[in-house]
Amino acid sequence: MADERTSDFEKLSALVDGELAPAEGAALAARLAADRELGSAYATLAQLKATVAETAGDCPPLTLARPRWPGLRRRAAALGACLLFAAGLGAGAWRGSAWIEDRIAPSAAEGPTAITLASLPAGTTIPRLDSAGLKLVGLAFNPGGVPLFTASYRGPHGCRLDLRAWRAGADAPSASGSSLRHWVVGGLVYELAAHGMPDWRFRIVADGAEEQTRIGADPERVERRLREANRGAPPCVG
Amino acid sequence: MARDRHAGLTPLLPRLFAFARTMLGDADAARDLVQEAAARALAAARVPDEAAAYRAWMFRIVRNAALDEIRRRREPAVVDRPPIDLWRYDEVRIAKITVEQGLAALGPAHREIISLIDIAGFSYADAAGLLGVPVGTVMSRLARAREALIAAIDASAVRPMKSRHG
Repeated sequence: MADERTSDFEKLSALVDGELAPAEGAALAARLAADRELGSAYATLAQLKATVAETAGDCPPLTLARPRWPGLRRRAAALGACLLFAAGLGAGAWRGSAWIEDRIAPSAAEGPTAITLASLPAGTTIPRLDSAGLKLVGLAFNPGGVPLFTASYRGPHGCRLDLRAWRAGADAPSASGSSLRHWVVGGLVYELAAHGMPDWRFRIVADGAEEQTRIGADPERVERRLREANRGAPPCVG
Repeated sequence: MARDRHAGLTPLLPRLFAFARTMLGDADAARDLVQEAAARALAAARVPDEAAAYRAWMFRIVRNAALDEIRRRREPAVVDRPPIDLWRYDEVRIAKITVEQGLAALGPAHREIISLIDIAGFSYADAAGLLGVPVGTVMSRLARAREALIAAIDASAVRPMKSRHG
């Protein structure tokens, strides 16, 4: 009897999903009319299915960004990608910036594959510095604000870099860091700040970062250059 | 002209997010997880060509990441609930809030199968392919999961207010 009820419940569950074979479904439907308990269980399952579907809720607005240098090499095709949560669309969940912490393209560790952000001005680029041993660990973006984004990089020996960008002509935010590099590309001012990084290493890293933001850069050359910054790199202090 | 290998990704995002949210019970964690899964997919050297295969592949990535996260969290064991009378259940108790609480109280396997069928909209055959089990197993697993969900709803202290008519 219990086995029969178990079997009935499984079939009712499948009937609710429209997954019973036609003949089996018709036979069960005929029983529903005559068996009050069976009918009650069917109503419960139908209500449950409909209500579970309601719990899915709304998906936060997500946008897939396209890589800047597609298809140059297979390894370089391990492209970083960003899902963006467009500002102002989060029904209060968004308050101007969001962090993507330590979760960006873990497999893209070998190539300087820059990231573009769909909700920021065209051409806005987040360089990858993995070849220099610096992992992109955080990204806060604020379309329309100053800065437009802040990207944070961390190395294994305490090295920290922050990259920011804002529209040329906007009031620059106050800078911090022991080493600074500014450059302008496509109407955007980029600022790279390091904390306690030796100057020679910072120069190489900043060259690589700057080059990635420029259209037509040679990614393989950038990668070779960034690798130089990773050779015998001392810890960062400060 | 180069074909976009990931043209099917954007339309899948809401269902991937909903699936991850049910699995993890946490919208922020689900958002991060889907974000990471999409990044992995976009970085993949080989991508399924056919739409259904692509969908299954993406869900597999999200599922594996969700299961890793659940293992990492070491969720407490699920409490066995006394059986309830499914044949005379008052479905008024089934409301969005009680279902959400009930889902959160289920084990991952139950959350997974309910989410795949009722939230992600998989057919039994597609879910069976994704999980690597026979269709009959999906059917029985889903029935058990629904039974557990009703029991969890019944055990909850929350009761939806009955609507008044007239």
